[in-house]
Amino acid sequence: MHALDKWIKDNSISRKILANNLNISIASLSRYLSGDRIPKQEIMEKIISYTDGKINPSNFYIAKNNKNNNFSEYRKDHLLGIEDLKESEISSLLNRADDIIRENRIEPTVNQKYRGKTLVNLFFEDSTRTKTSFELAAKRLGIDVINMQIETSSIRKGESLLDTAMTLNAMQPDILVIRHSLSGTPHLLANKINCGVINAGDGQHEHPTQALLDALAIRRRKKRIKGLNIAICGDIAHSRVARSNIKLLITMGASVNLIAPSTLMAEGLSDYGANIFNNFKDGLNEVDIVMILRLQKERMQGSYIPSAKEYFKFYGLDREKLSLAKSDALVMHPGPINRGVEIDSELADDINRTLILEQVELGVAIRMSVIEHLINNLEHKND
Amino acid sequence: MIESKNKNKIVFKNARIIDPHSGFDDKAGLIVQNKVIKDFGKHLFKNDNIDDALIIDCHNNILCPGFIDLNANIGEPGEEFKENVNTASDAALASGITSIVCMPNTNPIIDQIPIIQYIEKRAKETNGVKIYASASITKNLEGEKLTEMGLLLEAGAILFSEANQVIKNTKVMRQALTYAKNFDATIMISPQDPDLSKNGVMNGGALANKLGLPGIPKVAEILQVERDIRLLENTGGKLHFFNITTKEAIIAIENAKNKELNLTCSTAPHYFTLNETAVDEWKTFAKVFPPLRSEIDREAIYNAVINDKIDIISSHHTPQDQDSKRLPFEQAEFGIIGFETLLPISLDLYFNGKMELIKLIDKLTYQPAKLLNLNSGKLKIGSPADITLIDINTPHKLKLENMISKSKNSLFDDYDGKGKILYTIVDGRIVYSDPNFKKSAEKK
Repeated sequence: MHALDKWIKDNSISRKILANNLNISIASLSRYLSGDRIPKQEIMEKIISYTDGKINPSNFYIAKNNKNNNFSEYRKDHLLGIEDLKESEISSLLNRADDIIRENRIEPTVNQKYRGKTLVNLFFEDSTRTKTSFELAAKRLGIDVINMQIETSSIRKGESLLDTAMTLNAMQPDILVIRHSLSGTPHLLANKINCGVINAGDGQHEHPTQALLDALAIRRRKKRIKGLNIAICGDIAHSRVARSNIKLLITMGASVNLIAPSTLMAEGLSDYGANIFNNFKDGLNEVDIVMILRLQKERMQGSYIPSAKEYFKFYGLDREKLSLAKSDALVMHPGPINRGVEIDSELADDINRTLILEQVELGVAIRMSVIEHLINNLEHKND
Repeated sequence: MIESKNKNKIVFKNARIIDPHSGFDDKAGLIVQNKVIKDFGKHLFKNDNIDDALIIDCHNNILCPGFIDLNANIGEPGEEFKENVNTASDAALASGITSIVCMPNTNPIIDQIPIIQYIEKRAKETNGVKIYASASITKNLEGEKLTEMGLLLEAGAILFSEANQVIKNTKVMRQALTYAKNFDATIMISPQDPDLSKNGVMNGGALANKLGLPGIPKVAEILQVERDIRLLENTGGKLHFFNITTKEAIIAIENAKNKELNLTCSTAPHYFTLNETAVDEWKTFAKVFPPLRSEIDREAIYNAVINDKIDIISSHHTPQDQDSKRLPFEQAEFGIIGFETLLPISLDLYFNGKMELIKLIDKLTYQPAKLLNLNSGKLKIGSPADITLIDINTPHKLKLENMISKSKNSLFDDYDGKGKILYTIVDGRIVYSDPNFKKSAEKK
């Protein structure tokens, strides 16, 4: 029980009377008591004087921390993929991110709780958005960030990976964020390193934080995921974003249509419950969300796709094709965009129809949520 | 491991002798003298009145020809840190294997006479398992120019193979089959279409997609088998496919055999015991070439061995050290060791697959001997005394730490099998004996 709740009970008054006397709404008071929010300075002072100092700020921080711990259904030490995650675990990660967005927008503060923790960004593949997003997320939590420079020449040498793991272990980081061009690499490192490992993309396998932020973007706009019809279009075969998204969205109760030319479709994805289409006309019918995937440049000419021109004609999203979906359908893209290849340039910039910039913004919140979960879980494990 | 004491005469009594070549399977005894089999038969079952020989009481265990392993990698020359002739020999002998054919994809590649001579020299020094070198079909395994097949054969090459590769150029493959015919030489191919298998690391399909790994589709094997059969039909000659892993390849091979082509095939125990799910979550010990296939294919291979559509079982022994396997799946080396699991795993065909024991032993002994034109692999008076005594009744748990092979990359740790080797004899000499069994067997 919150110390303030106990005080209310001990002094035989009601929440309503207290709220009136503090000149705040009952809803605000409830949020303080549930640990959802910390009172602002002036309200905090009022509470302290009203309770004769029996209640002090630490009571509110304790409530908040308790809430974080009890709140979480996600108990894993790592986030290696969406595979095997339960709906409750995904919801827990999304809910916390929602809280973070609210806190950031209302009361931006640097959290003291994680001071002294270290996050290592270990990127074996080029990345601007994801790496920056993790860095910003960690810094907002007051966590120290180390960006490991991996020389391109040593990437291909497998030996260096386990050597790197040993070096990292010696630095005793709390969180390791890894991106690698080979699938399974985060899992290999998770077995060798004593810290929380976050997969920031491994080969053609998974990119779980991207799928989480996509889900958050959908949930915030459409107020739900369950029951939505979501189409994922483009290079399904080589996309880790697609794999993570398919698993997550189906776990959360959405219906997923995959749309790709058959050379870019992957066998076995219907096993997850996705519907397979080779053209937009059938695939976009009654769809609420259209997710467009990036087509790698090296795949545009040759045996997958004859040319970018042909690809755009049949598989690039423009307003005409979008009209096949529901009238309020929204467009998403994990970025960076190949304008005029997978999506029409003007459509990509239409903020009424796309969530593209929102996706970037939500990425920070979702990564903060994941980092917080892992650190809390690891601390509890050590208790 | 290898005993230096050379005994001229050994008598085996109280054995169940199985000789697939003659179809003999009965209680019998056997006499070995001066490197060869001197006599064997029922009349020697109880044979106590010989005093000039070492008498081994087999306690009704199975005495059969030593196994002949059609394809193995022994680390030499070039990868002695993974395996060497000594460790390979020790591991093979402890597994009942008396002859092995080593693959040409060594460093340097076995495409010239001195390399054949080098292996011969190393085998002689080791004085254990018999090692026959296969030579590459094309120079430097490049698939372009034929090696000096006639000279290599004279130097001791036993057959020609491109190891895990095929000859992509159809014309060169046609020439190879045609030219090898001059010498009645065998061409041995592990059939996987190189374009379709390029960069692939596991069986193509849903599981590979789930793990985000590039796959080798099964059609890669089927296509290559069908192409090479077409060529063989055209050229004649002797062709052997090893490491057959797919249902459709078996059908294609069966049809070709019905056309009376000189074609045989083999597989390795992991292909009829394990399927692609052994890869689990990037388990690199399950990375083999060709890849472990689907359950449908595994079952088809299992049944094809039982139904005699696969002629030979070989180990495809491929040692890899830890540094070659403790890597992200795509970077790890292919391969699994196979000597010490060859018999225990194959025995599943007898215990659970209802295959006759004599038929199973045939695929480990006489069939490979026939393909290689060896005089061993059978219990015939005057044949080399390459034999092994095996216990198929006592449970025998496989443990990685007990394996003799220098590298321990096996997926069969803790496998509950049977098939313990009690004695191995090469050229009439005891080269391996189980220490516990020896105590009771050699009592006078």
